[in-house]
Amino acid sequence: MSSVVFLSSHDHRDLKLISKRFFPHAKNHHMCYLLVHEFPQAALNFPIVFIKDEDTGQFKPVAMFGFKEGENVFYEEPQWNSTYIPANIRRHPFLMSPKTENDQDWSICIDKDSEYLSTIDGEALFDSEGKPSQQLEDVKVFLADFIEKDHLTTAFTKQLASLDLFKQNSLVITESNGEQVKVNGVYSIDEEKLNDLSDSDFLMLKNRGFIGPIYTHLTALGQMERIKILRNLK
Amino acid sequence: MEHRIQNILVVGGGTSGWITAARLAKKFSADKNSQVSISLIESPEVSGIGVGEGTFPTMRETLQFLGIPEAEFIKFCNATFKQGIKFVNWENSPQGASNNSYYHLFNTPHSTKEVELVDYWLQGLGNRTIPFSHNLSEQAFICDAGLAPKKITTPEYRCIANYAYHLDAKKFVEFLRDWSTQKLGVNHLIGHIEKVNLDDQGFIDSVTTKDQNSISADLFVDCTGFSCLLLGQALEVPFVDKSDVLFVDHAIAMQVPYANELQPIECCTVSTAHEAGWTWDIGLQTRRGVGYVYSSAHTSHDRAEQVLRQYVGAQSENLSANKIPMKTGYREKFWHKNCVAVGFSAGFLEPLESTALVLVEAAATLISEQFPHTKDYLPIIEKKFNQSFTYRFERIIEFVKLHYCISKREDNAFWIDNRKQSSIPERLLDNLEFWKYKAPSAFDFPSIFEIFTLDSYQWILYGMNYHTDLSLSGSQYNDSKQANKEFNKVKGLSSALVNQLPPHRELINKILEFGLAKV
Repeated sequence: MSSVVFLSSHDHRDLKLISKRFFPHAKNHHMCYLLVHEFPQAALNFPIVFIKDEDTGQFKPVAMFGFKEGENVFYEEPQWNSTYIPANIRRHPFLMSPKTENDQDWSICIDKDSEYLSTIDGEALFDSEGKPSQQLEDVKVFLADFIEKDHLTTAFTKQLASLDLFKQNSLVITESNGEQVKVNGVYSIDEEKLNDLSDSDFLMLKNRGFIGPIYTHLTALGQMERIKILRNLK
Repeated sequence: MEHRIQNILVVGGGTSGWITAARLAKKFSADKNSQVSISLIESPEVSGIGVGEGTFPTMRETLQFLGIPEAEFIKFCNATFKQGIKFVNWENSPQGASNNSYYHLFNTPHSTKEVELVDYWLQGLGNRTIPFSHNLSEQAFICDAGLAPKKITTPEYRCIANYAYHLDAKKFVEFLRDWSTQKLGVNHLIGHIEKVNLDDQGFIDSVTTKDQNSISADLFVDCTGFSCLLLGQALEVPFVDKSDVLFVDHAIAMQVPYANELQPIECCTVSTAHEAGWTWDIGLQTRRGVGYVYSSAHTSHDRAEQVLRQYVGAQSENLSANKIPMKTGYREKFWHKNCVAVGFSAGFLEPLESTALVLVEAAATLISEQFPHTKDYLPIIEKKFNQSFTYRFERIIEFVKLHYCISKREDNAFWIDNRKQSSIPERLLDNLEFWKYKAPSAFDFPSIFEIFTLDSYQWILYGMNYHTDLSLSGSQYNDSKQANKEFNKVKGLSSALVNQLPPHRELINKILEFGLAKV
């Protein structure tokens, strides 16, 4: 289990981030949240689809690594066999969280049990006076950027949902024993509905910069075939 | 030249009026060549009845048909999910502080093509330490646990357990009015009708308002409630009184706030039997609606208010109660010439099974689906409509009466009188006799106009432990192995869903914050 705490220069002064990280923590993840800005790089590797957040019912984009829980065809010990790793994996062991429930002030948290942290090897998070190291400053910039892009990603999926563009994807896979299994809960953009949009709605999507990611997602659906091939090789 | 029916005037701005106007407008707006226009006239002097806060699962289809986003409706109308009715103390009077209860659930009792599971229950199978409903549907456990019938990820109008809504009737009228006028093009008129003008053949030609406006139309829909201004007063269609079958003739109602905003919301309408009638208890988002429906021949109005206040408890002390007289029965005809009555103008039955709105939905659907495009068709649809609605009213009266006449309560003449043969419709008597030795089946419900079919009867009859002896037809039921498997399926599904579904209030709060997806 992960144990997430606020990062403090007092409690965590000795903490170091190990330098070579291959992100094995996600080796059994079959999907990962994707920022809309990542669609182009992700599309070269993974199918991009939408799922519903269990807690809010809102759509969110994900990169798929496998068809069922625990299955990740893109990880081969000791590393990822892909040209891209999503930011939501790369951010580990850091994340941002509001200090209190209604706080606008976000702070850095760490998973203090993460295998990427050490008190012996790696680059220090704080200098001897407790000031953030360059390493930590870079992390801050990365996380701030992540949050901003996360907001835009939410705006993107909300816009698509309000135009009623999603459809439930009918994905059926064949297990090694020949059994046909339906994969539920996967959504994609309905091309027919997209083509039926009014000119003004389509123009609005273009002006918001959403046309690119929409078609990238549609193209990346073809990567389902890659997962099928890689599963058969395993 | 043929006389086209193009202008429809709905008279009355209550729930029935707006549902009918909206349904008709939606139907005709889909047809680009349609010349039909829908207007609704509402009196500034008449206010709605404002009770009737329970619906039937058909309301989901109605709202979806009208193109209404479910989350918007839930938000505006203070609505919650209703998964059925919980009947308390209907079978027997309470023994001291101990109540008896059963469910009429909106899920049908579990069954397969091969095994009608209810019949195996009647053979003594299933887990006899838990009630009938809990053997036949996972929904009983969902309701016991106070859980929602779906998750936040379930698309709008779709369900995991079947549901209808509880809603604020006044808010619902406002919502339908705005939707009908803004999205569906219903023309909204304000005026108090003083005179209904007939032509020489007895058709309604126009209505005249207090400020001397005359409004003519080809078809008039009478949604004027108990006053039945057009069909009853102007066209003199008589009222068929049914108070000899269903005795309750008054309601007294109050709105009860929740103790705090975390108080759980009930999943069912709770209907509790009392000495001379029954109370409804409906949980909305911000308050409960509670009322006592009673027979004034069996109790006094003062005593009735006392019963209601006792039911509500200490919270009732500062709340005012609103008394409403009711008249059980229906019109001899619902459609006459170029006028059709929808809602309380067509008839009124006690709200025991929330039949008011389902009848409105059925009438609005029938009018729009079988719309008479020319005057020549009026006599034909008149006949069809009257047959189907007389049938519906008769069947509903039987179903409501069933709740009373298989009760074993002895505590008041009200309950004893309800079991007198002379007060029970013949067809119901026949069925009850038949079901002593035969399990109810689809053959007993032959019409497409049935509102309450086999499953509703099964929930009531066997919820109240009606005795059906199948020993003479035992050989029909020889697949007890499969039946036991099916009973186990219900059990498995129950424990799975109780772990997955969120509490009712939690889901409502999430819907208010995040809405519901269309897919």
